Amino acid sequence: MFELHIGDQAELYVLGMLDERERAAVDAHIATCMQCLRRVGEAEETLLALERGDLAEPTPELLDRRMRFGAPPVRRYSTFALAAAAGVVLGILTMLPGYFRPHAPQAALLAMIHSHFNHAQFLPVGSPRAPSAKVVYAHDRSWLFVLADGSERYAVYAINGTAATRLGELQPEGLTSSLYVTHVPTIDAVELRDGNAVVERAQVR
Amino acid sequence: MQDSALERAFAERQSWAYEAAYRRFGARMYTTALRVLADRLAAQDCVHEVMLHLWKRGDAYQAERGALEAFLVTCSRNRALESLRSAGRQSNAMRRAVTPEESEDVMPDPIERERIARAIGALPPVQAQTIQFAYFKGMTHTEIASALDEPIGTIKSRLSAALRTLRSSLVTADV
Repeated sequence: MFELHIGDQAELYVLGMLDERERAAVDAHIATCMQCLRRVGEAEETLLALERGDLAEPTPELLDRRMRFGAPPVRRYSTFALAAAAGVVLGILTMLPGYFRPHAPQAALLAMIHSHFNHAQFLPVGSPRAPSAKVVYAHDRSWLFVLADGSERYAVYAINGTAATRLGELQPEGLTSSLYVTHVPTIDAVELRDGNAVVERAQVR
Repeated sequence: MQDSALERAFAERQSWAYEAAYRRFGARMYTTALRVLADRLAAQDCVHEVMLHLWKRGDAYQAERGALEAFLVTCSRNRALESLRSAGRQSNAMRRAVTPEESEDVMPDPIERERIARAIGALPPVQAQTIQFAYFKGMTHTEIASALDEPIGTIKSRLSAALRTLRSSLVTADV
């Protein structure tokens, strides 16, 4: 059907604009053409970015319903084992007599060494004073680290739908302030607040 | 677990990867389907149908394609659109979903919504209008061509260009 590549059909495929016959032709083509496969993948990532604009509350039934695919999982524990190992290392360090008790940045650095993590930028919410800040968090949500430019002691809140849980307060040190938290609750965003006012927000994916 | 490891295992049709993908991305897939269908049970069924279809087919995803989450969300949206179109319920649910303040199910994220609105607002007006019809209202290109009184080929080119422009502002700038 295609002379060389699928061209604009890639975006139309992702937007659900093609009929069954056209979709099958694209599927057949991208099975063998890496260039068009990547173009479809890029269009899919754009669609995902658009979808992230709307958040709905997943029902507990959806998350509780387990789907089984063939044989039982083989290595589902590996990430948790790494996170647990990091936790043990941190725990031992903090309990050793005469040893230093790691403050937030050091504890966060150790956690980063021992686990996989993501990061997200905070975006201002109507406050011209919002500092540059980031949240770094473990894939498995075993820890979370907020780092902000400046010495303001903003309160850090975990947001899950409409529920907000206070995690603590940024602790200033030198030019930055930070907070390191373990056992993070289920969240979809993190907020920095000044009293009751939301200063800025980071979306967690 | 790193996304790349999950994506490779999913592409190799390892059962644990399907379960992990469902646990990690099921909520987002559900949200996407819910936005189209505006029906909780139908959205749940849609997600399960997509996962089972992919499991049976086995070769739909290759790691070189890109993010697994993006692939699964696209599958969910298209399956939901097919379901709407085949049931002849075209667009009614979508129109409800794009006014989320009227629905208890959809809770908009104001920051992301503003970012997306800004990106769409930066498109040439004809592209912005076309992407709104296609993405937010779930209209087919034939319906859009009819509504705008334009040739179908023009609508297709416009949609493709709009999505590629949005990628540069929403995805490549998203560090």
